Amino acid sequence: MTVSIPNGRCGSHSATMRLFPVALILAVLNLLLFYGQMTSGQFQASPWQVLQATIGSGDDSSNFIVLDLRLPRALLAPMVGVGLALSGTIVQAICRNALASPGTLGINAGASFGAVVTLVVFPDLPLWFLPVATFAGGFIAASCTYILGWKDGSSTTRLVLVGVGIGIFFSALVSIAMIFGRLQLVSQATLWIAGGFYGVKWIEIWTLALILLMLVPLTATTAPTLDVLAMGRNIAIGLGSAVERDRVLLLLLAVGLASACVAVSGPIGFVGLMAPHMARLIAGGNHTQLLPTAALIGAVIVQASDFVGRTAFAPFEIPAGIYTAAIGAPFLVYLLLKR
Amino acid sequence: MENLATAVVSQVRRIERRPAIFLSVSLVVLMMFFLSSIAFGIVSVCMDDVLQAFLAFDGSREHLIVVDTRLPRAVLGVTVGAALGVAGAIMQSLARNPIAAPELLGINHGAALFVAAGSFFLAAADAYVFVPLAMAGAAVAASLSYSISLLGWSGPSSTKLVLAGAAITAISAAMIQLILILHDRTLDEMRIWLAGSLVGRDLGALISTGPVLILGLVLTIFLGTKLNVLATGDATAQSLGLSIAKVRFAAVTAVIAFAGAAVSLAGPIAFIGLAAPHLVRRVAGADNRWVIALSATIGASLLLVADISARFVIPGQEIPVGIMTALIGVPFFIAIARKGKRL
Repeated sequence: MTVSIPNGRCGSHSATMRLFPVALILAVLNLLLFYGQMTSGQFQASPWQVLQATIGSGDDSSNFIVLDLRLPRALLAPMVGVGLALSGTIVQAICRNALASPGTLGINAGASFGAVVTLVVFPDLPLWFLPVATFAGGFIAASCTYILGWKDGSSTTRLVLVGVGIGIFFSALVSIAMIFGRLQLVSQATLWIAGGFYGVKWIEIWTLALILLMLVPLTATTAPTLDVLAMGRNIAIGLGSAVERDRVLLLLLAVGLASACVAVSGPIGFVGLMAPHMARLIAGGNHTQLLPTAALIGAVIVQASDFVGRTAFAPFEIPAGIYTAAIGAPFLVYLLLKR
Repeated sequence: MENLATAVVSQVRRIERRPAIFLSVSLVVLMMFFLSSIAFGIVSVCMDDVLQAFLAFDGSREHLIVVDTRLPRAVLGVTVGAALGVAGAIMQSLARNPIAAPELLGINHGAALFVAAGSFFLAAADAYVFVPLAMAGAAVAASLSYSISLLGWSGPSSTKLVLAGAAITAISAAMIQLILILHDRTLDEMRIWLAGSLVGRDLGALISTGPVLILGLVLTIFLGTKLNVLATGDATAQSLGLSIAKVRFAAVTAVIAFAGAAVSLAGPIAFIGLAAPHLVRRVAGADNRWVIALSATIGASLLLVADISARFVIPGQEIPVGIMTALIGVPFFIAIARKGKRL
């Protein structure tokens, strides 16, 4: 039931040294994928053209393709990966359950509900309403989970059970809309629920960047608290931690991160659940190393998924959310077998 | 000293008696739901006619509805609900995780993937094709998860089983979404199957999954006490002489049999396997034999209630039973979860 946390990693200096090459590889992978996102596609741009367009002195078509079509996605995809991976790491540390993820708190189901209401039930609503409804849906579902999971203090088992229940409830509401809705609208909603970056706008990128700029440094400071909470309630109290307060604040942080990401990209699965596990298999259970590793892995998975989704069946686009599992799962299986 | 011994024995008996009483009560309740499921619907049949249809069938419209439509559907509901409940109980004790559900090994998503692929490639929306396809998909996905958890030199563990299952589930879910996005006709067919429904299935489908269900039943009967030993933890169970690998294999096979049969008969119904064991555990205690038996009756009752109410929520139209199980069951489930111990 609990996440197994490898022990005997006391020498944090040597752990950091061991982690350095892994972090370097992941960072280089991120850069390579970013380069691929900018240059390849229907229109093959040379690095020189990309550079020219970025400073605004390219020809009109390359300016448009690079600045308006490719750069937004290449920036947004890794941001979403980082947000979801960090959120998942926090949730798993608090819940101490290997199956816990932002989705366990009901965020994905709530977000899908918000989106389906906008797309299928009230298709005449303006376009800007979609991210707002999605964010609201995710946040409301997670709040329901926390409020209903609260009784004389929070309990991790109760929290995940209530969260799964809330998730199933909202999914049922989504199914109703999907079954009784018009097929064309349902088809549109299915595409959106898969999660992807088609047609993202700069305003969405700036908003998410601003939110992450506030929340990611905050998350970095919580690493010691997460280490303590991951040991379980009693030990955490024994170590002098204010468990209830920490849990509320950290959950709020996790929900904020995940809801903001899901609002711009749709519910991208797998990353929030699996990036923390992969990071744990690579970097061990210490959150000072775990958080950055998970963030880098999340960014790699989502950027790679968007790259494949955009180029594999060109000119057809496949949403990135479909490839996260296909790209991430073999890697996870490899890590499981290696250990 | 002797008083103490008698006190302990009577205490033990009292604990044993409670789930037994509860089991008989739940069987009576299940019987009532079964009869109501036959009687109520768009055409209501009075109880007298229901009994007459069995005792003295006269070929009238009411009798035909009872025998041809309602009875198969009720039998199917009981079977699917009970199978899901039992599969959930075994899965939760196997994975030692309270949010584990039978679909954890990828059973539902594997089945759905094969059915979606069948609908996509064969252009066949026929339930007779769907049943074996779903069964095959469930078996393939779950065996894959289980094999992954066995490989690697660190040996099998519950965490590994859970993670491997989650990975297989994620891949299948992605491939289903891909098919649904690429093809609108498949989406149209699948959106109802994916919600889980008992409409339009007949007893032929049930009979074709019969051997699988019997296999699951036999395994479950042998598993009962062994699961109790396994619950003490891998190390303790091993030192008590339990062959963990064999028990785990038998348990996974039983889960695949029950959950696979359920998903191929009614489509993926998500909630019952998760909820039924939790709903009964406070009454049944830690003994897995009682948990399994009670999960079967409660799971069946839950599905029948959902199926009956699915006929009445929107007049003249039926809501798929999988949706109703969630809408009715979740409030109960949350109430039970709130009563649980604080950890």
